[in-house]
Amino acid sequence: MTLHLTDAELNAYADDELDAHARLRIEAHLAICDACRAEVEAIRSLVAAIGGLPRAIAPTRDLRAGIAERIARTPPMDTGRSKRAFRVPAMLAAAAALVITTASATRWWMLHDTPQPANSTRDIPVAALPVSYRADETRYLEAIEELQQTLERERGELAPQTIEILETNLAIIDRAIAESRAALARDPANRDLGLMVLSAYEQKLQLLQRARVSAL
Amino acid sequence: MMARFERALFAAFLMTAVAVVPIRAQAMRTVEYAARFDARGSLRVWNMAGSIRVTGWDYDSVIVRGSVPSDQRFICGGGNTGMKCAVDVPPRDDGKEPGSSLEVFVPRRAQLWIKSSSADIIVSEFNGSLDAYSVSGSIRVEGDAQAVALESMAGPLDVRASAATLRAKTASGDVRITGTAEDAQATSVSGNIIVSASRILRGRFESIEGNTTWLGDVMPRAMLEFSSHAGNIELHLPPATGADVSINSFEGSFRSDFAVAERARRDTKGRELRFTLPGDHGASITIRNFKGDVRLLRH
Repeated sequence: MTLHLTDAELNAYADDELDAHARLRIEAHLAICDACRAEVEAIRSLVAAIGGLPRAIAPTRDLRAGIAERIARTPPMDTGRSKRAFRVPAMLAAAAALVITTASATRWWMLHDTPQPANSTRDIPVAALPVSYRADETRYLEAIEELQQTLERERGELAPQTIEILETNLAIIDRAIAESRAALARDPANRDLGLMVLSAYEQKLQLLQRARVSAL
Repeated sequence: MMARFERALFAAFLMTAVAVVPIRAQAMRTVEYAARFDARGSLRVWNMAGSIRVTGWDYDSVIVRGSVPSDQRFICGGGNTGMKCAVDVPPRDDGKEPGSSLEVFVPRRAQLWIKSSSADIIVSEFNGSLDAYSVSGSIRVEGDAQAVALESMAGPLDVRASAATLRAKTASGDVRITGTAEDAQATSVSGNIIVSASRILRGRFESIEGNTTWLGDVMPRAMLEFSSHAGNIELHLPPATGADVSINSFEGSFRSDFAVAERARRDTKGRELRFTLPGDHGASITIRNFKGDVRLLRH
């Protein structure tokens, strides 16, 4: 006897919410189960009838999972290194951070032809993060960049009100990231500051995800 | 002469009003859908503008009824274990879609998923898992849900429910939690977070600019974490609260009604405090604030 797919699995498959592996598993079952295939068709018919309505609330991508524990396990960073040993990677990291941050911020604001808010981050120097945080920051920056590109493509689907809320709150978060990031660069052993920087990145990521849901 | 003219004018106004009101009323139509439904089935509801009111009940069926503008389609369908209901709103040039009001009755242990844009959402007497999203509409939850996940851009989130897990995320809306949760997380960017009269075992409350206020007891062995960048964090605690408290305040001020012994940190502008409130709760409270103020107040 074949176990049927659950309702959640059927809906997730029909709504195209699954990753490649889960999708393959479902498709393998559908290949041999008429009942589940009929269920998927029924769900798809309904979705088609609903037309342009949103299909799903995208699952939250929480990059923070495990980061707090990792930071807690990590010994205070950079304290035993000589300034000379730190200088080149630090400059490279600073340059990379500057490029990434400026590129995404510039693209976002320029494409949207919106005046930069008064409390922008332009007056806050971009400092190199301690090495222990760079990998996590890079992951956040990549995820944020990817989401921002998606939102730019879907901008037409966003209500003006949503764009306004998004831009106002992005500016607030960017300011917070810049300030806490600069503080962490001055006090690299401070784990609480590290958590606050990553927390602000997480907030930015989640805000972009929420905005995207409104466009779906 | 004038009095007659005024009476005629008034009569004309009345006739016009009587003529217009039915036209506006006719723009709405009543909808209703009823079907058998599994006690733990999955129901998805979309209504972008207006209101959605969901009530959990003990019957193995779903009823959706309401009032929908005539130019909008109401669609509902699915099977015993999965159902979707939606109001299909045609795009309008002015972007202001007229609202629909939907009233939904669902088995109280079902899985419920709701999405709105400006529609206000109210869920009550519901014991299952709830996932609700709104752009600017308010979301209010009452009852004893298994899991509650609420997300909004600017709408206020109001949780008056008990839930094993609670997640409330907003950008500029306020979050208010009044209830019980084994595991509660609330995040906001510029909205305020207010936790009052709550019994929370593990709680994490984060904002960027919004203020966070805790009003209530600290459960025995509770683990509570508060974090903000520029919002004030204010905890109103009973005098007999017992907890290990850790505060890291970088640029903001700190005030406490409780006696604390400060341990200075080197090379930081702010201060780090670790102390124990001597009650017998054995709880843990962690506070991080970059430039907002931190206050521990007796209540």
